[in-house]
Amino acid sequence: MIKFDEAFVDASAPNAEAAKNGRALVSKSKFLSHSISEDETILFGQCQGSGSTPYSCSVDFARPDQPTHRCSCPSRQFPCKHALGLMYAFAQGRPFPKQAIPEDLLQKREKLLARADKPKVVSNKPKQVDKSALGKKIKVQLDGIDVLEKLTTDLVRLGVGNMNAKLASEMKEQAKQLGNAYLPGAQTALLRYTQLFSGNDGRYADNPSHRSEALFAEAVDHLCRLHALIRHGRTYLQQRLDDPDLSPEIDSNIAAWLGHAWQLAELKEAGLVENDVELIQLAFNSFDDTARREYVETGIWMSLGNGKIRFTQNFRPYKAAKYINSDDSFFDVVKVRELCVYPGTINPRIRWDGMESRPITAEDFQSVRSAASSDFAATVKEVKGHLKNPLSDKSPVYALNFRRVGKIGSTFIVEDSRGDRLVLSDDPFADEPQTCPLLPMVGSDCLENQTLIVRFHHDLNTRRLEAKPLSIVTSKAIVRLTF
Amino acid sequence: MSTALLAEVYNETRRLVIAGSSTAPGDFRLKKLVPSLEQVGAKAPVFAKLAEAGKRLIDSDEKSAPPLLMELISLISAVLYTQGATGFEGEVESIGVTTPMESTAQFGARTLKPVLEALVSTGPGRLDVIRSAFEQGMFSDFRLMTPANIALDDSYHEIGTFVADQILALYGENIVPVLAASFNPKGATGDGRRLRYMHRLNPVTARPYVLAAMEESSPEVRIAAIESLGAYPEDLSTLLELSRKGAKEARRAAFAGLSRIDDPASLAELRKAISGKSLEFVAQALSTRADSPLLDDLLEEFEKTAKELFAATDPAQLDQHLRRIQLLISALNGNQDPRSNGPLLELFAKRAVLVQMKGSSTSGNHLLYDIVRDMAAKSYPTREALIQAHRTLHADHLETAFGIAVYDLDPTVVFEEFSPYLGCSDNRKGVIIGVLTGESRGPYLRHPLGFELDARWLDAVITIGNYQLASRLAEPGDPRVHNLLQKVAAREFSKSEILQDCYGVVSAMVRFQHPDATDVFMQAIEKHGEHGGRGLYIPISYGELIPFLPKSAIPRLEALRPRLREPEGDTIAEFIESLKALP
Repeated sequence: MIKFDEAFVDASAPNAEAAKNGRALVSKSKFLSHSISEDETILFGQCQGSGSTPYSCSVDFARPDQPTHRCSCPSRQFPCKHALGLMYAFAQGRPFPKQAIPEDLLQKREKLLARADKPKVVSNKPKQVDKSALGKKIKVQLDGIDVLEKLTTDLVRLGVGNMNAKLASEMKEQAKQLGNAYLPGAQTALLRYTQLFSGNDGRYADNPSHRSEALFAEAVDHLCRLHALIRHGRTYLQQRLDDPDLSPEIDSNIAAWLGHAWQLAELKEAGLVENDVELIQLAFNSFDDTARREYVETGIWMSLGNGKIRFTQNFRPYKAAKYINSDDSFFDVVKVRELCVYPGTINPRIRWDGMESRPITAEDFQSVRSAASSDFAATVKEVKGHLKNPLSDKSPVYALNFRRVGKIGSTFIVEDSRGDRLVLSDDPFADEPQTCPLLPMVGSDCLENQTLIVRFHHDLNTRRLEAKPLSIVTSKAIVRLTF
Repeated sequence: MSTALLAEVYNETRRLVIAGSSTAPGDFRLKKLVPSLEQVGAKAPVFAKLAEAGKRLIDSDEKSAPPLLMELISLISAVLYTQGATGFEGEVESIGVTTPMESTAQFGARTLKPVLEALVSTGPGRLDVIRSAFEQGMFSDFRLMTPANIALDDSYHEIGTFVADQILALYGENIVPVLAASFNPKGATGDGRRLRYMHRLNPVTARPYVLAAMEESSPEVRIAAIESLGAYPEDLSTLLELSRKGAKEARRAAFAGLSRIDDPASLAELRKAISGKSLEFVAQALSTRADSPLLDDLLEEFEKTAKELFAATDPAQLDQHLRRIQLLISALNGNQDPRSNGPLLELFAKRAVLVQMKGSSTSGNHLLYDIVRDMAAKSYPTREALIQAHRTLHADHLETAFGIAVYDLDPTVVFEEFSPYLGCSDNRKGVIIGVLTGESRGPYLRHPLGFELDARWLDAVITIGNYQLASRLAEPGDPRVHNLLQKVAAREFSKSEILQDCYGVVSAMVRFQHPDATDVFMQAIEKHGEHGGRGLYIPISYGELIPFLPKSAIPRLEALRPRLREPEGDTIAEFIESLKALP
C-alpha cells in the first residue's frame, strides 16, 4: 500500500521550482483524473497541459524504495511537475478512485521489473578489466603527479606571500593538465589553494579582503596537503601499476583524493554496503564550490542503528545544474535497503539508490542522543589523531552530549558533564552560514543537557581545536543552525 | 612536550613558506632553533626528527629546498594538529536568551536560502523575495535574524527600511544582542536604524549606545542618537547646543528633543525659534503636543505674521509669509486647546482674499488646501465651520466637507443639505457620488459607507440612474435596484466589445447579490474571454469578484479551470479556492 507525505514529494522534486509547479497543478485542478490501482501500488492520472491532449502521468511503487515516475510530457526534468503533482494530490488526500492499471503501464512495469532483476545475474560475473588500458591510464596519472609536483614546487619556491592574481590565474590554467591526466581530485586540491587568493566574487585578487595571518596559515596547510598527495598518490599509483589486479584502496581515501569516482557497484563489490538502514538528517548545507565550478549539497546523517555519522554529497556542475536534482533538508527518517559507504575514516560519504521515509519519533531523537559522545576528552583525542593525517577530512562531525552551552566573555563554550570544555566558533574558511551568533536565540532549554552536532576545526593560527555548532538535538526536535 | 618550542619552529617554518623556499637555505633563525630541538629530541623522538628535517633544510640549496621545506612544515603541522588546545578557563555565564520566539518554524534549505541570500547579497528583485517571505511567516525562523540585521545596511534603501519597520518587530528583544553586537557608531544608515530600534524597544538599555554615539559617530548615527535624547535632565544642555548650530537634520532632531522637555531653558530656546528663522525646525516637533506651553507664543506669532501677510503685495514677501503661516498652523495641529482653532478659523473666513494671493513659488490657494485639510482633522468647531460653508466651497473642498458631514451630522440633515448636488451638472455631483461609493480619495474617507445614510438617498440615486451606487446603497433583493441592474445589463452587454465594457454592471450585480449574477459573470467570460486559442482569459478584476459569487457558482467555475490561460490562471484558481473555503 502506498503511503507518503508531502515532505517525501518535496524530496523527490529535482528543485524548488518543480515542487512549486507540481503543487500549483493540484491547486489549479489541472488533473482531469487521478486513480490508484486495485492493489494500491501505482498512481496514474491525466493532467491538462498547454497542448490540446492531456499528459498521462504515473508513479509506480512496484519497488517501494524506488518509485518510477512516468509522464508523456516533453519535460527534461525528472520527475516532471505532472508526476510530482500527482504525488502531491495523493499526499494531500485528494480522492483517488480504484481503477484497473492501464495496459501500457502494465507492460512498462513488467519490463522494469525484468530489468531490475537482470543486474543481479550480471553482478555475479567477475568484472573484466582491460589491464593494458588501465596500465596506460595509470602511467598518465603518474605523469600527472609529476606535473603536480612541479607546480607545487613552483608555489613553494615562490612563497605564499608572493601569490598574486596573475600567478593564481596562470596556476589555474596549468591545473587543467591534471584533469587531462585523470586526476580531477588533485586538480581540485590545487584549485582550492589558488582559490584562497580570490576575492568575495570568486575572482583572483592581488589583495583579497581576507588576506591575513589566518589566510597564510590556511594556505600553508593546503600546500602540506598537496605535498602529501604527491607522495601518497605516487606510491599508490605505482603499486597499482605494478599489480594491475589490485583494486582501488578502500582503507584510505587516497583514491578519492586522486579523483576516482566510485560507482555504487564498485562499493558493493568491495563490501562497503549496509543493509536495511534508517537514517536521520542532522544538518544540511548547500553552497557554490567555485573551485570545482559546481553547486554542492551536503547532508549530515546519523544511522539510527549504529550511531555513525556520515554525509551525502550531491554535485551539480554549473553547466548541467538545471538537469540534476538538487538535494534539500529532510525532516523525516529515511529507510534505505542498501546503503553504500565510501572509503573513509570518521565521516565517510554515503549514497543510496532508493528510499522510503517515515515520520521522526521521540525514540529517534533518543537514539541520536544515545549514540552521541558524553566524554569530550576522548572525542578530542580521536579527532586530533585523525587530523594529523594531512589527507584526512579536516572538519569531522561529531554528536556531543553536553551539560551546558554558555559564554565566557565573548567566547561561546560547550561543557560536558565532567566539566571539560570546547570553544565554539565559526570556521572562517567553511562554506557554511555562521551559527554561533544563533545560539542566544535557540531558547535556554536547548542549551542545557542536550546533544550538539558539531564540526571540529583546528585553527592553525591560534593552534586551537574548536567546534562549530551545526544543530542541537533535544528530546523533541532537531534545532538546525545551518539548513 | 615543549609546545612553545614547537610553536616557535612552526612560526619560523611558516615564515619561510610565506617568503618562499629560496630564503630557507642557511636561515639563521631556524638554525638557532635546531640545538633546542636536538636537546628535547634526546627524550622525544619527534623532536629529533624535526631537528634532522630542519638541518637538512638549512643545508639545502635553492633547488633542493622546496621539498625539504614542505617536509619540515608537514611534519611540524602534523605534530601541532595533535597539540591543538581545547578548553577555556573562566566563569561560564548563561547565554542571554531573552523571550522565547512565539514560533520556531524551521524551513528547508530550498525555501530558506533564497531569502537568506536576498537579505545579504546585492542585485535586483530582492525586495520581492523578502516581502514574500515576510508574508509567508518565514521570518519566524530564527536563522533569518542575523541576515535581517545585515540587511539593515543594505545599499538599496527600501530593503533596509522594510526590515527596520516590519521585520525587526517580529523578534522583539531577542534581536537586541544581535543589533548591539554589530552596532558601529561610525557606521552608516543601517547603524542609525539599529540605534533607533534599540531605543524604541528599551530606552534604558539603549542609553549607553546613544551616549557613545553622541561622543563620536557618523552623521547618520548622530541624528538617530539626537532623536533618542530628551528623557534625562542632562540631555538638555546638549540639545540646546545642538539646536543652535550644525546640519539641518541635526537641528531638527535637537528641537524635537527640546519640545519634549518643559524646562525654562528649552522653552526659551523654542520661543526664540518660533519668532525667528528656526521655525521650520520646531513646527513639526510642536505639532505632536496636545498641551504645548508655547500656545500663546504661537498665537502671537501667527497674529503678527497674518497681519504682515494680508498687508504684503510683493510676491517674494508673500511667499515668505505664506510659508511661515503654513508652519505655524502645522505647529498647532495637535493642540487640543480651543484657542488653537483660532488661526484656522480666521484664515478660512478670509479665504476669498487668500485665494487671490499669488507668491512667486506658492499661493494663497495652496495654503487654503492645507487649511481645509487641517480643519477637517483638528476639532469639532473647525469641522463644523467647514461643513457650514459647503455652499460656498470649491468642489475639492466640498468633497472634504461632505466627507466629514456624513460622520458629524444627523443623516436627515446630511441628505437635505447635500442631496441637491446630485442634480448639478458640474463636478460637485461627482464629488458626492464619489464619497458615497467610497471611491473618493479624500483623506477622511478611509471607511467608505461606514456611516448611516438617510433612506432617501437610494431614491435620489435611482432617479439619476446610477446603478453602481444604487447597488451599493440598496439591500439585496430591493426590486427597484433589481430591475435597474437587469435593464443596464441588457444594454451594456449588447454594445460591449471587450470584457471591461461589461465590468461595471457585472461587478454591481455580483456585489448586490443579484440572482442573475453568476449567469451574467459567466456570460461575460464566455462572450469575451476566449482569445486566439490560448485558453480562457479572465482578468484579475473579474477574479476579485469570484469570492462574492454564491457557492452555487463553484461547479461552473470549476468547469472553467482547465481552460484558463496562464499565467493569470494561477491567480484565478486561487480566487476559486477562496470561494470554496468560505463557510
